[in-house]
Amino acid sequence: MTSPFPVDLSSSELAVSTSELSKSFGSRRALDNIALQVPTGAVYLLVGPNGAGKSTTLRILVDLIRPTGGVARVLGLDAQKQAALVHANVGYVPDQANWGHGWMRTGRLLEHHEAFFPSWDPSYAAQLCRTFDIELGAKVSTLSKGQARRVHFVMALAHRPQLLLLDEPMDGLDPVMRDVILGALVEHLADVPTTVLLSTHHVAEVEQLADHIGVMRDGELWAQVPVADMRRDLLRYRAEVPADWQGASLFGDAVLRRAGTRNEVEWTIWGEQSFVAEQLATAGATVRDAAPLSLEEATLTLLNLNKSVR
Amino acid sequence: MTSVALHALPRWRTVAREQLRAVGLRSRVGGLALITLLGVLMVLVVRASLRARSLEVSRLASPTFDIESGAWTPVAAVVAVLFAFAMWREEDPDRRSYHWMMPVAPHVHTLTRVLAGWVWLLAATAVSLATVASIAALSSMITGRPQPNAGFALWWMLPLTSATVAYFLASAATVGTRQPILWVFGVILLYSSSLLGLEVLGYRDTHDVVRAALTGDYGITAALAGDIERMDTAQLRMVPSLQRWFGASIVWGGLGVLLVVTASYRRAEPTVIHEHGLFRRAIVGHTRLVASVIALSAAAGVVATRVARPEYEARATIWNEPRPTERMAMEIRSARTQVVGEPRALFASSRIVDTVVRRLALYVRPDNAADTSLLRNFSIADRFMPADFRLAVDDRGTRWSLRAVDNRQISDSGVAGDSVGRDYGLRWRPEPAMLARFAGREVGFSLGTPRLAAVDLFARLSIVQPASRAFLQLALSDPDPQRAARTLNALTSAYVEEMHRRGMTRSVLDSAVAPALPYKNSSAQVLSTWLIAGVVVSIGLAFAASALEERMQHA
Repeated sequence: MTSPFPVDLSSSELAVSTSELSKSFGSRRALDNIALQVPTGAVYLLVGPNGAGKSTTLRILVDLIRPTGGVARVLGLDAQKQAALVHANVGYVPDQANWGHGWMRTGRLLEHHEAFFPSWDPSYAAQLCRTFDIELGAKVSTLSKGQARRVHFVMALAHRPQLLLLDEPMDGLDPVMRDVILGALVEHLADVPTTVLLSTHHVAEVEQLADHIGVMRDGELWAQVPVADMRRDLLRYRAEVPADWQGASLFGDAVLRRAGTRNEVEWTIWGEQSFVAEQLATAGATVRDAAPLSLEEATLTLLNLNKSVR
Repeated sequence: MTSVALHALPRWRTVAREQLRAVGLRSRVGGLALITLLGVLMVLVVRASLRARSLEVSRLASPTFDIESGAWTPVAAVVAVLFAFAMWREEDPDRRSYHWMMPVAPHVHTLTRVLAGWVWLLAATAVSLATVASIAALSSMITGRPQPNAGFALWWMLPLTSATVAYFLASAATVGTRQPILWVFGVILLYSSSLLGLEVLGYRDTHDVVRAALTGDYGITAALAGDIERMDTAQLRMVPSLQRWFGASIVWGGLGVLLVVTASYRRAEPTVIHEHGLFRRAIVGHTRLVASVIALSAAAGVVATRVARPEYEARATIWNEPRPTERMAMEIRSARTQVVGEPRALFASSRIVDTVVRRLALYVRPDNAADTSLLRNFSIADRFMPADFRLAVDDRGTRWSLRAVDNRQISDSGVAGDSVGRDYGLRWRPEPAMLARFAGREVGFSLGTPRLAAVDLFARLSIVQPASRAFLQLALSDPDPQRAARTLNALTSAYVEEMHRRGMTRSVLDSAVAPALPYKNSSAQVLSTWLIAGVVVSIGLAFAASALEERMQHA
């Protein structure tokens, strides 16, 4: 099915690209022909409700699960056939806290991890441990979700990968630590040219970082655009209309939300602002305001759409 | 993005070293436990040895602690299995994400870890053996008595290879399956059930082949428990067999490695749909189908019990160990006769089976086993006509008439005391008293060639000679239990006589007795087989129907 929203970012150089990526668990379809495109150097926010297929997509990218169909390429490498090389160049923060080796002490786990990554920077790892207040003597299995997440961040960042795949990275973190980690992430991105693919259903927490966004629902990629384009083209229009005005049908599926009183109506419309305003005026409406949505509002609007719109 | 310089992969040596360290670290609690156990053992043995010496038990033949007790080999195997399970504890394939996220090919990574575990296992086993040997030496020193069989170097290899085989087999289960313990017990249960089933159903040859995997010369018992003894005919004592040890270790160790390598390629993914309750859904959703198939199979089973002829099995044992004085003569003779050491060939020869067939007139078979007594004096001329015959006895039991089944005309007739069927080549004169007991009846019997009867007899004869044992176990199946015992006893006697004729002394340890219960095709066996088959088929059909319905729903 063709999305009415933009989904093509192929004009950019891509760090991650998938083509017709599908995944089924038995008869349940978790991913349906996903064409994910993450430009190199972007901070790409993959948003969607629980069960949308975000984690499945990320796991396929690191070959933890195999797709039912389609192809995934990461940093120009085949995610399946060159998985080891992908792993060497990717920092992955999983969505689960208990990720294995629970019997090790945290410090020993980091040593163990270091042995597998020739590009591991011990001084950077030590700095991150200090920043994240990691208790090196604690047994991994006894760590809370937030503590485990911090350890995973060190493991993902310290070998300075070219791509970060962060699956619900802020989940389980307290607000203070969330701030600390976001700060560390910003610093890391400033120091090391890194592409980030971050999946979350809490957009507001990472809104400031993102420059691209992909919206997933029910295993499908609904939209995939630069954040700037979304802010430019997805606007909330407020207009005065005559009684019994029928002009909204002009915009068809581009109208994502309609609200307001009898004579003053609000529309959330995806389209070029001048064109939409002109159409509204032609139809007899007087546009009073056209305001961009926050990223969270925009994604919520997209996610709350009736599926029949597609 | 391809232009960007990528980070390099780690060197295998680095990975292997780290795995070795990690596995060692993970095993430290087990290692400490082992050291403690060995320490406790040493204390106990020293204490017992000191007590033995102070009591001056002069008749004590061996020291308090015997290194050749044979217990160390299975202990090493059990420890190896536990170690393999512990290595992957909480890391079943569904929870191995971290392991698979490392920048190493997953199967290489897995195999490296398995190898690292193996190195530690061998080290631990070697240390344990060295400690055990030290304890044994200490015990000998204190008591002043030497170890009885300390000279066999192979005893020291056994725990190492046994642990290796057990470790790789168990690792295959832990690496490749979500529930390794369930799998291991499942395989054991399935194997045991198969053995039992084959025995109950009377597939003796298949049973013996399947059983060989357990207790055969190169069976898993030889590999894991060190059951590799053979009789040293020169010293007349059991000694370890290098050939059996090597063969069993290679076979089972090779299988273990093959399974581990195969398992290391396995990718497990979270299974989302309907895994739980699948069985219940299939069965509960198709109760009518299941019940119908089981009812049908039960009905078929009842019919089958009417048709199937029960088979009985008689057993006997022959002591087959040559006396030391015979050995040299045997070895010289064996070069010429080729029968020594090959009892099966000797039994198959005309010397044994053909002799017994002629002696017991096994070429003639009554249609009804109860009529055997009438054929007691039956024999044949050099030329005779194989056929199915009917002998009719008049109501007074004084006259008889004989005809071949495919010929309605009476071919021969006479009175009690006359020879029967002389024209057919029969040498048979039923006693008048015996004939009188069959008054008013028609007795059917089949006459075949002695050679064919001998071939059939040999086919029903099972000869087992355990590798390290000095006896032959014989079993013979027959629809008539009395005839089975009689024939088998004749066979064992013929064998002993033939060996005696060749200058070798053999004796019958256990003579055959007529079995009371059939070993095959009894009503209970036939019915239960049909019922089990019905249950299995019904469950299979229920699963197939369930899968088909699901597929159609989601099509």
